[in-house]
Amino acid sequence: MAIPGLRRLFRLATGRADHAAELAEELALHLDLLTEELVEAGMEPAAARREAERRFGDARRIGKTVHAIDVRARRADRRREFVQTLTRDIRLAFRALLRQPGFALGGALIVALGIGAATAMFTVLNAAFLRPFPYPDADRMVYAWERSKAGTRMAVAGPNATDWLAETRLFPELAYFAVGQAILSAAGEPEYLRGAAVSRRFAAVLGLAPLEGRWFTEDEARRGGPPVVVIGEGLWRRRFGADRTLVGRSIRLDGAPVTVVGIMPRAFGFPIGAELWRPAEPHNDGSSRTAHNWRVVARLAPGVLPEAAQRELSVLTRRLVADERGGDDFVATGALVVPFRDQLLGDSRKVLLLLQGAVLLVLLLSAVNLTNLTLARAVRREGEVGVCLALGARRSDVIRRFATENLLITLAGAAAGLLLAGVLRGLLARWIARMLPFVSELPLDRRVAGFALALALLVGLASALLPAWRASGGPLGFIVSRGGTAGRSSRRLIDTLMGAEVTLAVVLVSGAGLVGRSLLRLSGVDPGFAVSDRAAVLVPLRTGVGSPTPTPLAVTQAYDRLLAELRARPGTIAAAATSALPLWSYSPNGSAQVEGTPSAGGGPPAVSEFRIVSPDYFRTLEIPLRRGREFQEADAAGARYVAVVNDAFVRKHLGAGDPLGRRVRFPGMDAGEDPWAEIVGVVGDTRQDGLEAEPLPAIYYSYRQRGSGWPVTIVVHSRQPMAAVLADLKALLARVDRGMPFTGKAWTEVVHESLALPRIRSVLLGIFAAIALLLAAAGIAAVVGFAVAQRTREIGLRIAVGASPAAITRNGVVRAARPVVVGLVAGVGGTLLLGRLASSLLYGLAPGDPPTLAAAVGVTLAVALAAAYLPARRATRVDPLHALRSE
Amino acid sequence: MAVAPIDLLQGTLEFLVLKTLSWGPMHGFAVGRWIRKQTDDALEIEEGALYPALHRMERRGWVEAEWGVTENNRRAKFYQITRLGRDQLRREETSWTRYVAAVSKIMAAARASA
Repeated sequence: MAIPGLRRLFRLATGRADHAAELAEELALHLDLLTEELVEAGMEPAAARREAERRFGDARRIGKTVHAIDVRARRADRRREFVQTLTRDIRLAFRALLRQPGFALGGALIVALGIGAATAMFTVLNAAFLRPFPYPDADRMVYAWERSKAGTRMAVAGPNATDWLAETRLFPELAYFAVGQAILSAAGEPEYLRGAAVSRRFAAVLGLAPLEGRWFTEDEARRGGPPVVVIGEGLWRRRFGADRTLVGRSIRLDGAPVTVVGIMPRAFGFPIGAELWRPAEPHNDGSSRTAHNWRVVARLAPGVLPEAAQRELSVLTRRLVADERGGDDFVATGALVVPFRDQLLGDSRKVLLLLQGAVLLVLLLSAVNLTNLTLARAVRREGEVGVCLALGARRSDVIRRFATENLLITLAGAAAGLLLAGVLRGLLARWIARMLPFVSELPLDRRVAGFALALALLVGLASALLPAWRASGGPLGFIVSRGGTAGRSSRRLIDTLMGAEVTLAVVLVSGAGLVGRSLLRLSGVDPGFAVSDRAAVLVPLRTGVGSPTPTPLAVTQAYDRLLAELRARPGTIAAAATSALPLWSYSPNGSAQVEGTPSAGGGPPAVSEFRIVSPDYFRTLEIPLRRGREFQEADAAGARYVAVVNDAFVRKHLGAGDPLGRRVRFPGMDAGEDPWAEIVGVVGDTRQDGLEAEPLPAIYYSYRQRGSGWPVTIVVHSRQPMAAVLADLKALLARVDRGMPFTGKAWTEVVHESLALPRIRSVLLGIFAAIALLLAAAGIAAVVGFAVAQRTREIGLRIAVGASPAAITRNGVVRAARPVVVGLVAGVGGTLLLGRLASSLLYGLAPGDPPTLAAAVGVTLAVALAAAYLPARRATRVDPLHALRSE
Repeated sequence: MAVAPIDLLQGTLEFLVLKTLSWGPMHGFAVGRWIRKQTDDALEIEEGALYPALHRMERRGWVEAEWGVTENNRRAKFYQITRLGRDQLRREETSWTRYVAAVSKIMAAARASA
């Protein structure tokens, strides 16, 4: 067996003695001989000496030259030796691994799982945190918000945004925008397009120029300007075949002609998914400083910190709103400036880091596992290592050797891990597309590959260090343990690491369990309305009206006609319309007032959601009526103005006493004179914004009375199969309005989709937990298998004297039981400790939820026992004769 | 007395030293004296070049050094050519012969055409 370091040992004999002294002696001799020669030739000895010295020149110079040669040669030697050692090490490591392909392959697989999971998750972090935005100097881009009394972000009132831009000195560019959608009717199917109403400097904030045509001019951006639109490159290619002549031509949006003035490059696509940009000014009502309708993006001047910019905007804001009612929750108390990436990441940052944390636990588990395998292997190699040490190899040689082997394994593992990451990436991409729409792709770029490589190096070195250190403890180690079982301390260490694997597995399984159970809880949440057998479809304002600028009455009548038709269909149980269908459409909110309370007299307003519904709405959704009555057909224009409120409104804004008969108003939510409306009914709460969001106070108005400034969603409750209902709806709506895209969906599907994020999250954590279990199982099986192999002789002996197979198996399993149990306990502790970090992912569960923890412990224990059982059973097949003869 | 400049001599010096040592182990002074004698004092090896050259060749493994005693009972470092050194010498000889032959031809041709 070749031993690294041995060659160097022999070189010591020829070692580098003191060259300088040798050389000095050599030169002195030379000088003497030269002098003698001159004397022989007839010179006076003193003159001969002088002459010799003169000829000889400077001895020191020779010394320096020789020294330089030495230094250069030594350096070259070292380089050569390094390369030689490296290639020899790698060759040796290869050979050693080939002798034990099980170890090599198992180790590589273990590492592949750990690095694969970690790298897959890192693609997300890379894309979300590290990849640059496509805008020039994107680090200077920020979002700006108004700050509420409570310190939260509020969208910005139009006039405030305009005045910010006029007065700021720290923002060279600032623009406001609001997302929206429009129906494009061109050749082919009509289509809902996402877009935004944007102020004039919007393109300058993003810093990108049009691909074709131009951005809006001042004139076009002015109120009453000509109707124009800028469209995105994607839309231009998809719907217009990248036709250059489109610029300057007119297209139909929401049924009205609009001139295309420019086409923006794909990278411009902001807000996310937008394909149309229209001037905002015509939509900016310009008066209210508390109508929080706009989002603001801005570009900081070079070198200006967001904090400084925030101070400036806060001062401006307070001056602007000084004469607004001070008690109103909707009056800004300042401004907030948020870096672009922080804004887009939002709360996802925490979720991402948490999942990356989970994945790092998986990685740690795989590293511990490889360490343990290496340790077990090192025990088996004690003899070999002992011989090396006895022959003079140093401890560092042994460590280098172990590290080389493990690095080969982890590098192979990392390569396989990258493949695994490639597979996981598909799932992650779907998840991330929902959570962070600005992350358009998850590239496996150089940074990701570098990450995987770094992990391979780290795991390779870390897993080799401890086993090599112990194995090289001294040449006596092998003599003492030769032929015996693994040293007691090695065994203890192996058991400890096995326990650690179990701990990590329990933490991950518990985490997955908690998140999974949260998902179950969440899908079990009563949303406050019935979901099954209902189909919903969004219906634009103009549908069935026949006029591009319909009156509220005409819109209501058109919706009424539609609802009547739907009710007449066979199988229809009920049909209704609403401005804000739960889990589907946005429910606007604002400052309501309750008569006879401070909110009506300039005090804090009764913040509430604002919803418009048709008379049958509560019945159609089976939203329970608590008191009073539902809306009726008679609650129409001209009749007494009435409202229905939900439980939350009563709880929060009305207090004790009969809510019926009290009066509310909702200034600012709609045009009109805003009279008081009398509460005639109280209904149950509904989960509007997602199943996890607590219901908010809401006021419902009848669409007969309040008119409908909003497009509505129609919902049909039917006995027919949903597919048939949807097909019917589509046909009906196409007949009424040919230019309308169909958005109908079964409502169960809507609910299902609303849970997509937590579901994918659960699946991901489930995968990580499964990997963790697999790794722990592999680790336990390996350790037990190793113990069996170590004791072949003993087991053979026991079988020979009549031990039953069951006893042999039990013995093997029991061997693993203690560390596993310790690991389980530590795992529960770890979960309790780490669980709090995950609480943002949990719903309706404490991080220490006992049933979940119990289940996690049970599952891990079962897996651990199974993993210990299989190799333990193999022990019963030991042939006693063979085993006894083998030593 | 012709003393070739060192930089010109560098490769040639090693060649000469190897050739010298191929006759048997010698110490540094003897190597210089032997070359001088063989060339009838035409080539004098400068000490400042000789000892670094010996050292370099020792480093390369062309020569081995051993401390011994001179005929006058003085301690001296004796250099001996190694197998590696002989291989090197053979290569140098071949290329030197070809080099000399080539240069000679040029000289002859130059004279003929002149």
